[in-house]
Amino acid sequence: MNPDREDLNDRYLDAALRDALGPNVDLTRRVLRAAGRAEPSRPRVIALPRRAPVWRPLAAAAAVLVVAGLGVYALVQVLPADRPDQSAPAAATRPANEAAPAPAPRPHDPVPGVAPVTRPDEAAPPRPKANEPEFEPLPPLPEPAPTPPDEVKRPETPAPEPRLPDGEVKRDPEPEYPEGWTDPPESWPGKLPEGTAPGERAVLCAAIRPSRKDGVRVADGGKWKPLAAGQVLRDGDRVKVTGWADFTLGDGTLLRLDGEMALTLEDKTTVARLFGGVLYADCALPLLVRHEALGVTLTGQALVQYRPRALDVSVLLGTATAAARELGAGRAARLDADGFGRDRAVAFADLQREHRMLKESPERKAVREDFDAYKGEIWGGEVTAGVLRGGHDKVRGLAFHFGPVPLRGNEVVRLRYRVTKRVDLVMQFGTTGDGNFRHVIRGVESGKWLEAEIPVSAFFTNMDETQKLAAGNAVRRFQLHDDDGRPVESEIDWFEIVSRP
Amino acid sequence: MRSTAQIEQMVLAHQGHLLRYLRWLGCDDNLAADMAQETFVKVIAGDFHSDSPQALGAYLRTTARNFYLMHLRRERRNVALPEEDVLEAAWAENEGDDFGESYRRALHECMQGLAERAKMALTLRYGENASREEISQATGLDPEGAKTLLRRAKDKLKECIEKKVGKDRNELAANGRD
Repeated sequence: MNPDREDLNDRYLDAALRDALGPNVDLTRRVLRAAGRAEPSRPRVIALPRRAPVWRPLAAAAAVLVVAGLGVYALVQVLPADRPDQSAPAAATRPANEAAPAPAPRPHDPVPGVAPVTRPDEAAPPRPKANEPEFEPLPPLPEPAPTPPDEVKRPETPAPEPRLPDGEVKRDPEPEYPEGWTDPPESWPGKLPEGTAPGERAVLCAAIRPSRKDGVRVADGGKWKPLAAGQVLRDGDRVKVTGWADFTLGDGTLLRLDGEMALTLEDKTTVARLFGGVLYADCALPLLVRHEALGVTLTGQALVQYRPRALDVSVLLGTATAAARELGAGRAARLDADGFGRDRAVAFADLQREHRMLKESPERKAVREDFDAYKGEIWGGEVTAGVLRGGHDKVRGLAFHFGPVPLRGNEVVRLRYRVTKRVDLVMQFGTTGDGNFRHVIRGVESGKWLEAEIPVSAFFTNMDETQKLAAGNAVRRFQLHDDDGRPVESEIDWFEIVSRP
Repeated sequence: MRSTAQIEQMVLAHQGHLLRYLRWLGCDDNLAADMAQETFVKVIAGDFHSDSPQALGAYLRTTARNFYLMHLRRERRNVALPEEDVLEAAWAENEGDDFGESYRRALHECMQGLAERAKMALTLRYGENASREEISQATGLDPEGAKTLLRRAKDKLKECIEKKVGKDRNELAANGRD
């Protein structure tokens, strides 16, 4: 037997084992829906779960007893009081009622009182094929489906505003930053109110980095046109990416796309409507990803893959919320009209293996300061020619302020710096309420520009080395000084705090 | 044109073998379900009919394989599939002419002959999609030991199934079917 055949036989055993031991799958409803047929009105026989818990028959028997008991009890209540001989057995049934075990909800049962996401019965638009032509007619962006109250649980979303007429500018698109969310750096272009001129749609994204030349095309009057230099994306713009591209939104969120999406605003929440491919998001504010009638709100780092009438959601940090169910960090599941399916463990390494666009790790800049137009508070120095210089103050050294920036714990700090004499250099963060956190670099070489990359988790409090900078701390100041308290001339060329998977 | 009841009947009759086929080609569970759905929709739209379940099964497999190849191209994945005739021969050899019923029955019987720990490892791996680390924790083995346990369990199953199904693949290969 040749190796191919041996391998195929092994794989058949794998498939048969999954078939025998894995979950039952019934495609009938999906196929009927996709084929545009009404679902059968008659009840279908659905295979029972493979491993029914032992208590179910007992619970059923107990339930029958309870019903019988209640029936007898009710009968006794309506009987005339002058028949005491029949009230005794009725009273005897009451303990059985109290003792009846209530079945525990199964993990995949629908949550009582929560309506599942519904979708229209009509067949979905055809899926784009691999050999699609360069130009294809662009269907208009579908209006968001009416969202049932429980469909998307948005953290702290304000009450919806009345929709403005087309072309009308939202005068106050400033997002309300929920507590604990990253405030975008002032230096970012395209911050919502600033990028929007009267009579124009709101600017949602002004920083786009394609992985290849002409890799991003924008829908324009029914045609795809290459992204022009300096072009911004406004509310309703639709883009198609070849290779991949990074989109930094006005709120600081980073999107990496290999596929097709449109960016819109819904009640001040940015929405990425996915029409194909894969979208990675590192959210500074909650992001709603839509596909047809489906919607999932992301609050951290997640990857969303387009599927026909479904989305595969992998959460690396934060949560993904849809249909009143929350998917936590390190879990992946498919979202379809019935809500999230069975979840499984996922890690960034798995996603990197699966998706070429993640080979280069995406990075969201929570803070970036080049000192080209710095206007914040400085201790012990000044900015000259795009460099922060100083350090004469032997107590405070050299420091500058920013933010505050709440941390998630997975960030790294990068900076380019130089000192004029060999020192043990303390790099220190000031936080909003938890004191200072420091990291010491021993024997820093003098007179040379150096670049450092330090995880925020390597910073600890001055009093207790085990108490580290972590999720929940909010940093607002960065400081350099000598560990021995001597004045030291130091310079910072640029500084950034970067979030990455 | 098929009625809703006929579509339902077709899906119920063929979804098991189609999903198994797609997993056999290399699809994960989600992708297999997607591809199977697209395949059924295509067959419904094309209104392909056959009185022979075997012929309909072959038509579904060909359509599903083409969808899978299109998917691989779209995802720019370089997965080399054997030639169609090799695939079909290997599939027929395992699946038989009863849509794999004999194989599944043999698998069920052979599973009963495995040690409890091997059964647990297989159930975790194939039933729960557990990682090797999770299996090693559950079985009390180190990850390499868990890997060996799974490999040996599958070797035993293969041997047992071959005996029960009455196939001798070496013989078939020697007879020139390869």
